[in-house]
Amino acid sequence: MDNLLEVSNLNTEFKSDYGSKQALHNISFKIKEGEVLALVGESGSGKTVTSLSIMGLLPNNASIKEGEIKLFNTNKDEIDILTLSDEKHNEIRGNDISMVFQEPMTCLNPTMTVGEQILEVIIRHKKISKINAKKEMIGLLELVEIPDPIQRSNEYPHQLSGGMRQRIMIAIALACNPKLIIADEPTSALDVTIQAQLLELLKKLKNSIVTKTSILFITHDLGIVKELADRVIVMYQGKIVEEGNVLDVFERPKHSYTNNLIQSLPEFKIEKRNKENIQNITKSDNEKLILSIKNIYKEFPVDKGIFKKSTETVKAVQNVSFDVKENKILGLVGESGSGKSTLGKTIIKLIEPTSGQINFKNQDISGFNKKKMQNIRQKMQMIFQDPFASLNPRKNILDTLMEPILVHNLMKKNEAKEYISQIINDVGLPSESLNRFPHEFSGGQRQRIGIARALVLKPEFIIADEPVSALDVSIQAQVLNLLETLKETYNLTMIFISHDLSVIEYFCDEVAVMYLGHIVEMAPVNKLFTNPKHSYTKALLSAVPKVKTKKTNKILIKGDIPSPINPPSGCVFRTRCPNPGIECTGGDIKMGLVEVEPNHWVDKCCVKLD
Amino acid sequence: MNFFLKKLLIVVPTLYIAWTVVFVTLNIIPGDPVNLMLGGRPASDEVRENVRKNLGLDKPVIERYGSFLINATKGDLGKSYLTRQPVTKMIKENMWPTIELSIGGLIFGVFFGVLFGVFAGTKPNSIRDTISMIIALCGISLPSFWIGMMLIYIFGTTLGWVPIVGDGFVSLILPSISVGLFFAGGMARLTRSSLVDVLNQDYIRTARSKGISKYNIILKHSLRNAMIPPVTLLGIQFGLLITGAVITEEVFARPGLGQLLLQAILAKDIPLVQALVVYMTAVYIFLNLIVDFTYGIIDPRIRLERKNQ
Amino acid sequence: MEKFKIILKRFLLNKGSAFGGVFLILIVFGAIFAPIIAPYDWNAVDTGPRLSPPSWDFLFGTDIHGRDVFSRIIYGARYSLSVGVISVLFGIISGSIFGVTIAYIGGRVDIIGSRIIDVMFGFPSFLLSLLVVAIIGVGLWNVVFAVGLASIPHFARIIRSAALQVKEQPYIEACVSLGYGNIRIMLNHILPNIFPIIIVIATLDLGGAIISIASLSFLGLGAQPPEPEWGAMLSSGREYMRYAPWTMIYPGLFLFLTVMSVNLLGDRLSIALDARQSIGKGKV
Repeated sequence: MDNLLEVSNLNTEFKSDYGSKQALHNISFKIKEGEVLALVGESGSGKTVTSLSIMGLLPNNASIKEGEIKLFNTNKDEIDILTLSDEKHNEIRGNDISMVFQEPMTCLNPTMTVGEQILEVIIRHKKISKINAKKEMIGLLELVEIPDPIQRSNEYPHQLSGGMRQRIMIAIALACNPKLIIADEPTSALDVTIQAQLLELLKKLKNSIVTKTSILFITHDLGIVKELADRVIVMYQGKIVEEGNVLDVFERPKHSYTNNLIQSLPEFKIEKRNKENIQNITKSDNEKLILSIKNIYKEFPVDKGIFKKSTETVKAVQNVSFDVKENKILGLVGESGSGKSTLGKTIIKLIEPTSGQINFKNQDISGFNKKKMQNIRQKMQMIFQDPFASLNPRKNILDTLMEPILVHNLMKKNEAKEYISQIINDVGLPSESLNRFPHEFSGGQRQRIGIARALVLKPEFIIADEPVSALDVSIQAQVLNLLETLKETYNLTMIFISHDLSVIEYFCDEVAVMYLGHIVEMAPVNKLFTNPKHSYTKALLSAVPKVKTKKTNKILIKGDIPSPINPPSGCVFRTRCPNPGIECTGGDIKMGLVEVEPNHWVDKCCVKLD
Repeated sequence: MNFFLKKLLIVVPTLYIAWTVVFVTLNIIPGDPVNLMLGGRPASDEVRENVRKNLGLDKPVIERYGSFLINATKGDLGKSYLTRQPVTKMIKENMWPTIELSIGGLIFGVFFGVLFGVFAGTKPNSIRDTISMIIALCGISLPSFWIGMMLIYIFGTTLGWVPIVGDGFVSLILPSISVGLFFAGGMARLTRSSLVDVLNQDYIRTARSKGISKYNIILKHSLRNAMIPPVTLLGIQFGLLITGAVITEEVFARPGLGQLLLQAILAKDIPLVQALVVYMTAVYIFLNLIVDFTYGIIDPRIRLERKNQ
Repeated sequence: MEKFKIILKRFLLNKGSAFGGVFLILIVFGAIFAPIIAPYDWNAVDTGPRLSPPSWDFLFGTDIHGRDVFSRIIYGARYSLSVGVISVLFGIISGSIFGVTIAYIGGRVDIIGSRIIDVMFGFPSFLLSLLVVAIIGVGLWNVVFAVGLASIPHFARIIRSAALQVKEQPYIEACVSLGYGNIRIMLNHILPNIFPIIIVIATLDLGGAIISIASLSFLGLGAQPPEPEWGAMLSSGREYMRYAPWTMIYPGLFLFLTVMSVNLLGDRLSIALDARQSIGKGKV
């Protein structure tokens, strides 16, 4: 195969008030015709900067200090992209090289219909009449499998779901039969089942109509690389540390960074743990309940402004019951709109439940007012998702950790100081950090501070709401390790909320799968992951791209997640169920869990099918 | 249509509360209106009683409040204490010069505001941006009464280019500038920052990745999105037209509602103040209603949201 | 704290803020040391010939009563700045209390509070000031009160929405989960985080307040002669504009430059603080 693009010795620099910082160091690589090249790295590794350098879309404060980017067109003419004028570069952009961006919510113009936005690029480069362009546009929408393409083309971006918008972006990128498509984390903002649909679409396109087109696929997800790419480049701090065939790199990584990256994947850690001690699971037979929730409902009225006659409600949590045993970790897993976060906040009473019981240490706290909760608050704490937003930026760490102790009168100020530095050491930070402010820490460090804040009141029970989702893979692994140690030293019971199945598998004892407010399946982790019963769980498990296991036939579920304002009648999953029975669609069918095996609970609807 | 009805349901109570506030506040003003009527001349109790009856002040407050509201909706707002003319008639007589001046100021403000804003915003941090923004800053920093007098002094008195008094289009130029300058400054600054903001959006990067030319990116992708904040400002700035009317009419010695209001306040002519405030708030709220509708035209998200309501 | 230094440096090194800063310092200096700087008594009639043009003796000329215009402007600075600051302080403090409270309590209180703001917005602010003056009467301090009062809905609306944004942040949720009281959360956690916004909108509004007060004085509703308030000076200078333009030009010029300096500072402040916020979020 011939080379399509050659990047050599690329050095890109960012200027700011704090001086200039080199983002890329001597980046050189080639993309061959028709291949899928994956660019992998954690945040700050320079993968996006590389793609923007090729596109000529770098922000104003960035500049290319050195290097060459050569594009070879059909006649094997050499075009040096970096020396082109903006007009000439515009001839290439969207035509020879096109791009799909990460954020489907913000990447389309909100005031233009999606049809117009596709038309625009066709007319710009192909210079054909509007009628013909329209035909092509509809054809493209069909190609990316958008239902009712004619009607959809007249809609505005905000009327479409994230997955649909990303399909539109792909249609725009495909419009002029480009030689190279750069896809910058195109599925990272999407739910895992939607991501699976898009990856499937990309594979299909790759194998059918765009075989000649090369794809530069930028991602942080090694599973996707394994699934999609031919070759992979690993970047770290603006440098290329490894390059090679996907299979080679994953099986015999040469660079220690790549090796660490692979080893910190939960799937590898699970494997390692299983090898080390299989006995681990039967360690404790402590069956003492710490939390037991019964028939929890949470419905929010849809905000309709000043006329408070809102008839519609968001049905966030529907009839959820479960127990959490002392010293165990219960995982709550689900996609967006599943209500997992709402459930977590309801249990800790940041949100009042609409109905139901929350029995915490044998007392029903669901009706407790603020005053009565005060003592309970000490015993149940929360770790939040966004490490950047969950710390007050105007308080230094000492104040952040001191305030709860003083509010609850746990100890005197000078005693507390010693206690706090003990805790900050426990979460793996030096005592000197206490005098610093949140913005002086990295994401992982901030999350450690968030954990310290949750621990400071000596709680027995912690709800961790996606505590590692905002972090890079290697940092994720460190924080999970920390939580594991702390669980032992502080004798904690946890509910661990996450959308990431592999993290749940690695970290939790039991797991409950949520879909549109309902728990559809609940079981000990090893049971659920080896023998899922509910069709949704099966689809979810098969949707996760993995490095280790080869997946031959994926269970794809179609369509988007319905809105929790108007969930489907009957079984909420029936609209996406691969094999829905007639009985699922009835309006009077009641969802509810049945115990199919000891400790393995599945929603009735799916049990009948088995 | 549904949206329109809902909006109206908000406007009516707002107007009602605004008018009630006017009535209450103006009726707690210390001092007997009869004294004002009599202009400080001594009078017998009989005369006073008569005047009181004439003005309807003998009736209980609640009754006066009721009739004020009913009359206000009919457009009948009583008689001036001083001229004894129906205030509605006085307003009608003085209305046109103010409308002319407001339109003049509006056109000047919007035209130059948007012009300078787009000029600056399309090339941020350039020389033309800096110069445009210095001019805009002057616009919002110049006291309109002083710039009005300076304009008269320079173009009227010294250069003699423009007539200071008189009717017609030409004599409207200087007052319009004086009314519109602050307006233009604010508009230019907001248009610029909004445009700079839009040009940094992800969808502009998408458009660039499609190979769309700079000109089309600004024309087709940016301007429409960037106009939403300035249109909002427009709604708030309608209030400035009233400021402009009061001050500029005073400076240029033009007749109009501003002059009327000022005189009414200085003379404590309560019915006239009431009527003018009622009238001006109604117009202000109505203009803002129009602005509200404009959003829907600019932004399809708002339009569709309204449709679904 | 290093970052604070960078903000300060960024703020100070800018030409705009440098000009604004220097001019304001001069004005404040002049206002404080007016008795030393001003060559004549601001109220002494017939200090020189009436309506004499600017000269070395009378830098900005004299007015109809033969008073030195320059001395009057220097003394006038005492009024313009302090009245502006006082009226903005009055408005911003009331607006902050109102806005933060309704945003934090939320629910019905927020809806009713926002309705009140909306109704007050139904009055154009200048009209509201005029109405207040009509009720409480003519006078400089009444005007200061009126302008401050009329600015409350504007401040309250911005601060409410800022507080609402902060309230949605996870660190406020964390405060609730740690069992903190409402007053503690409002004063200790929400207020410090919207403080930069409060400072910026107060500064950006100061210029407008100074102009409004001067305008009302110009209309004869505020400061009364012979007080050397700039608006009032312009009001009397206006009659002799034809023969003695200096009585009108200089007070206005000072008013303009003061307002412009304040606005420049406000602009730079908002840029500098915005930059800090983006640092806080991690994207430089």
